[in-house]
Parts: sequence; C-alpha cells; structure tokens
Amino acid sequence: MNIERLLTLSSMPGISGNEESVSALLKTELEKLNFSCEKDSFGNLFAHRQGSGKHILLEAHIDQVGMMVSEIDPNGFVRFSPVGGLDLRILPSQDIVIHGRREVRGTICFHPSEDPENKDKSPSLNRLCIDTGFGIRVKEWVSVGDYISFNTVPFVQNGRFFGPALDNRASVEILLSFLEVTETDADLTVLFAVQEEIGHMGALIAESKISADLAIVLDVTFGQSHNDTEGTFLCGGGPAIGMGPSVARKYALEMIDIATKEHIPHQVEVMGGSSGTDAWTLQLAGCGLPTVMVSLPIRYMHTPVEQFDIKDADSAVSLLTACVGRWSL
Amino acid sequence: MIQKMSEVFGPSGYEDEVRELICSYLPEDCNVSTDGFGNLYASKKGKSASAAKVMLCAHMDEVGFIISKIYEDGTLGFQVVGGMSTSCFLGKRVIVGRNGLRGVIGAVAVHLLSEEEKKKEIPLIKLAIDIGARNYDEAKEMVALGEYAAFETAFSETEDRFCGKALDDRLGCCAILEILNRFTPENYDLTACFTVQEETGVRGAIVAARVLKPTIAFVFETTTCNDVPNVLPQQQVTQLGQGIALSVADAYTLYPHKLREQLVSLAEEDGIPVQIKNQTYGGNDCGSISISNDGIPVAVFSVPCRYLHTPFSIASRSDYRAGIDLAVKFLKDLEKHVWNYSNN
Repeated sequence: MNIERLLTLSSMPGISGNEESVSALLKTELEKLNFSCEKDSFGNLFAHRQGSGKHILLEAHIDQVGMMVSEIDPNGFVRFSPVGGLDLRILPSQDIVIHGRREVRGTICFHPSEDPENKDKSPSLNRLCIDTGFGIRVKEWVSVGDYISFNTVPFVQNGRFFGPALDNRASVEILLSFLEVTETDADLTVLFAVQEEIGHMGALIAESKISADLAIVLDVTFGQSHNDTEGTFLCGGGPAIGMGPSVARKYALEMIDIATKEHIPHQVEVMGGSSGTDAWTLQLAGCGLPTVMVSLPIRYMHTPVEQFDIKDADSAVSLLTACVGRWSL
Repeated sequence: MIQKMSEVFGPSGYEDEVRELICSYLPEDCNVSTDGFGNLYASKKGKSASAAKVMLCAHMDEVGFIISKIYEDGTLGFQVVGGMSTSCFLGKRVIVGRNGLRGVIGAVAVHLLSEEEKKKEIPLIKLAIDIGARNYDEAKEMVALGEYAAFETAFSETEDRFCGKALDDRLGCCAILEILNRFTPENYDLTACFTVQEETGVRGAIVAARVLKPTIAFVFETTTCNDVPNVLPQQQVTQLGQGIALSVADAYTLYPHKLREQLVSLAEEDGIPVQIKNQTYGGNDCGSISISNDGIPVAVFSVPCRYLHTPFSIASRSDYRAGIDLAVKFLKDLEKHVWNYSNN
C-alpha cells in the first residue's frame, strides 16, 4: 500500500461527474506500469496491457459522494443538493470547501429548530445550508452547479487509515498496489469507472466496450462499528469475498478456496440481491461477464471520517495476486 | 497568534496547554502568577500607587469531551464537558488526551438504518470516539479514562473572516494579549486574568474576583450571532461584521447602564462600530465577577460568533479589532471615565 498516494487520493475532490483530476493521476500511474490508457467520452478510464492467458478485467469506481450548489440566497447562504447517498447526520457544522472560481471554505449551518415537533429529529436538507461568512459577496466566487467536498484531512494511526472518499479510493489504491507489486504476464484491462455513486452510470456505459473473460470488482463494504447491526464485517478480519447473484459462483468459490489455502485473512459477504456495486452492472457486459467482488470493510461509510484497517488492504492485494496468478493461466 | 490560540487543546478542566501558550505571548513587563484553581494572572502596576484595580478577563477553556468508557471493540464512550448540542458531533475529527492522539466521532453507516432511525438524532450513548484501536487492550494502551478530547479544526483567515474552533473564547484571550502588548497604564493597576472552567459554570471567575478584588472589570468574550436563515431579526442576538457587541443584560448579569453608555459614546467619537445584543440569554465571567466582593461594575466586549460551541465557528476580524480599539480608548483615560455606583 502506498500510504502517501492514498493520502493524496483521499484528499482529492472527485465527486460523481467531476472525476477528471483523479483519472488524470491514475492515468499517469498506469502508464508507468506500461498500460496504454484511453478515456471514453463519459470519463471512464480504460487501460490495457497485453499479456497471455485469460483476459481479466480489474475494476474500481473512482468517484465519491459529495454535494453541489443548488441556490445562493439573497444573504449569501448556499443551498445544496447531495450527489450520491450522503449521510445527512454528519452535515451540521461540517467543514467543507466549495470548488468555485476559487476554493471557498465554509461550514454547514444548522440552526436547531425551536419547533417542538422537530426537536429530536436529525436535520433534513431543507433546514441545512452552507455559510462561508462572506454573505452575498460569495457570488463573486461561487455559482449554482459548483461542487462541494469535505475538507477533512486524512490520517493514519495505529495501522488504521481515516479519511474522506475511502469509498472508493481505498480500492483504487489496492488495485494500483497489486499492479505494482505483482509480476504477472496476465492480459489485463483496468477500468476506473466514474459516476458509480449515482447509479453505476460509468459501468453501464462501459459495458459495450468490455470484452474480458472475467472481472474482479473492488469496492467497499460495511465495517463493524460501535453500534453494530447485522451485515457488518470486522475491520481487521480481511477483505470480504462476495457471494450471491451478483457474482459468478464458480469463481467466487474458487477465490474463497485460494484465500483459505494461502492463509489470506478474508470474510464472506452474502448478498441475496444486488450488491449495490458496479459488479451487478458489469455481469451483463458483452455476452455476459463472470464477475467476482472483493470488498474492503470500512467504518462510517459516506462520511468524511471513513476508516479501514491497513492489514485488510494488504490482504486484498495478496488475494488479487493469488487469484490473478491462478486465473490468468 | 490567533491561529495557534484557536488550535491549542484546552477543554474545561485541562487548560494547561492554553496557559503555557498564553505565557509565551505575555509582554516582559507583566508580573505573572497562577492561583490554586488554575487561573492565570498577568499584571502591570501603574506608575503611582493607586486604589483603582482594573481587571481584564477572558476564559482559556473550550467546550469539549471527556473519555468515560473504553468499549470491547476499542472505541471510546464519552461525556460532554460544557454545553453543546450532540447534533454537531457525528463525522468530525477530534484530538484525545495530552499527546495529540487523533480520533473521529462515528456511528453506524446510514445505509444500515431503517427509515425511522435515519430521521432521529443519535443519542450520545450511541456515539463513540474511534482512535483506531482494534480492541479494549489496544485502546487501554493508547488512552486512559478521564482523558479529555476536543474538536480538531484547522484555523483559517480569509478576507475579514476567521474560521476555526474555540473562537469562544480564544478570541477574547487574544484581544487581552494584544491590549497588554500595546498599552501600559499610567495611574492604575491593570491585571489580565485568564480564567479556567468558564464553560462549566463561570467557576474560575468566582475565585479570580475574590483574589483580585477589582474596582472595575472588563470581560472579553464571543457571543451568539444567529443572523442565519430561518431566524427572525429579533432573535439574531448580533450580526456578523456590524461591530463589537455590548450587552444590556444576559442570563447572569444586568450591566450598569452608565458604563455601557460611556462605551457607546466613546465608540461614536472614533467611529468604532458597536452593536447591542438584542437577546438576554447567554452568560459569561461577568456573572461571577459582578456579584463578588461588594459588587463590581462590569462590561463585556463580545465578538459576534456564528456557531459557538460547534467544531466550526465564524467571526469577523473587524468586529474583533473594534473590541480592542474601544477597550484601549477607554483604558487610556480610565480615571476620567471610571464610574461607580456612588458617583451616580
């Protein structure tokens, strides 16, 4: 894992529909590894490196959830719309940046309602707005349609990585690390897809261009946190291998078998329906694409303080190495 | 200085680091001491022996948290120190303890909640500070029960605006530091008192007033500024950028009219922008000082501050400067202006 690079990726604003700076960095990294890169008109980044054996597609989405300016009121308070599934509860007093003609820092203003009916309710969007402190002057720098991202700085402590956008930049870093540490002759295509958070749009558009034999999709899943509910995974228990209609059963079982035999820590994530990831969409690509999923458990998903255990990411890299090694033969 | 003072760690009960930082900014000609509760005093004696003792007061502490439990999964349960609304806790970075340990305040991912649960505010008991410990034992190595925690927010200043945490009341402390560095009294004693535990009930000031027995006291604070959407003008308390705020009354204190009126007319003389708080809630160290000893005339210079007691407050540099300029103007000719009850 290249922690420095992940710190950069976590801080880089790349909200759905505005991923250019992220894909530019990734293009540079892939070209260093002899991939030839191409962007489609939607923004998806495709990279191919010729090899032998089965043609394997490795995929991760590069966009993150965020916000967009929807209105500037007469006093300069900025109303916004969510882009992707934001957790509204973390918004009050949040430190944000509006990417306008210049970067403008602000906070999400939450005025507790005096209304007894609303007292213990968490904020709804129409009670929230952004305060930059500049009043109507903010219009010099900010317009409707500008993107807004979290200003939280990522950090590492006790072997855990904390920061915004780890969904899905952590997976992006796992993918890059795998390519950097593993010597392989496999015939590989990398797809860094855009706009996953608003409906797997990038993957949908990419479908018609894909002709691989097998796909491995890297995304994140729910890490067990303080108030645990069903369907969460231990951070530190290893990446979660997906099972269910969203994956090709034969390959998923093989992946579990490989992980067990190679003593790679892993967990199994059973999903009876859509996985909520690009895998569900990519299975339908071309003439049908066998797909498996490797998901990193992260806590506090879709907040600026997402967290994962670096050991899980290292295990994911090992798992990719073992599987690609076996399947490319 | 304002940046460092905003960013320094100092919740009520552990103001040590703030005290140390303030000491590094005090001018050489100050006599420095602390009392048994932790208040910091920096005094300048006037050139002639005089009965007048002027007190400048600001509190060093900020609202924060205290670690009350270590859970099996390595996360930390906590209580609130000072008054804060839990609605601003989730998804924020914090510093824990004396060694700059970082943490985040988290809860269950929103995707896993029912529609009902999504609408409810999370109760404090369900929040936890996550420092990256994998289990109870690891957490115990990293932190002890009773350690304090506070929000971590980078300070920034753009155009006329300050953004940061703990502007309440580090802006007050900074104002006093600027006054001390800029002004030395001729004929009276000036003592700056940086109090502790204001946020837990204006406690430090109770001791400070007894120790100093001032003739008159000026408190430098921040105050509510609610000129935000959905708040009627009459409920806004103050407005950002409209000047330093003076008070008629608040929850703890009725401020002497004549003193306030003098301040207003001095401000008018020099075109210093001033506004009057238009609500009577809130309180500050004046609450303890004004009723101490035989009763002390007090006035408060409050910098309007949006989003007090949250991780991200906004204040105006020109409001802050107005407070300093007005205070210095008053202090320069204090004997002319000094007003006490018997001089009615």
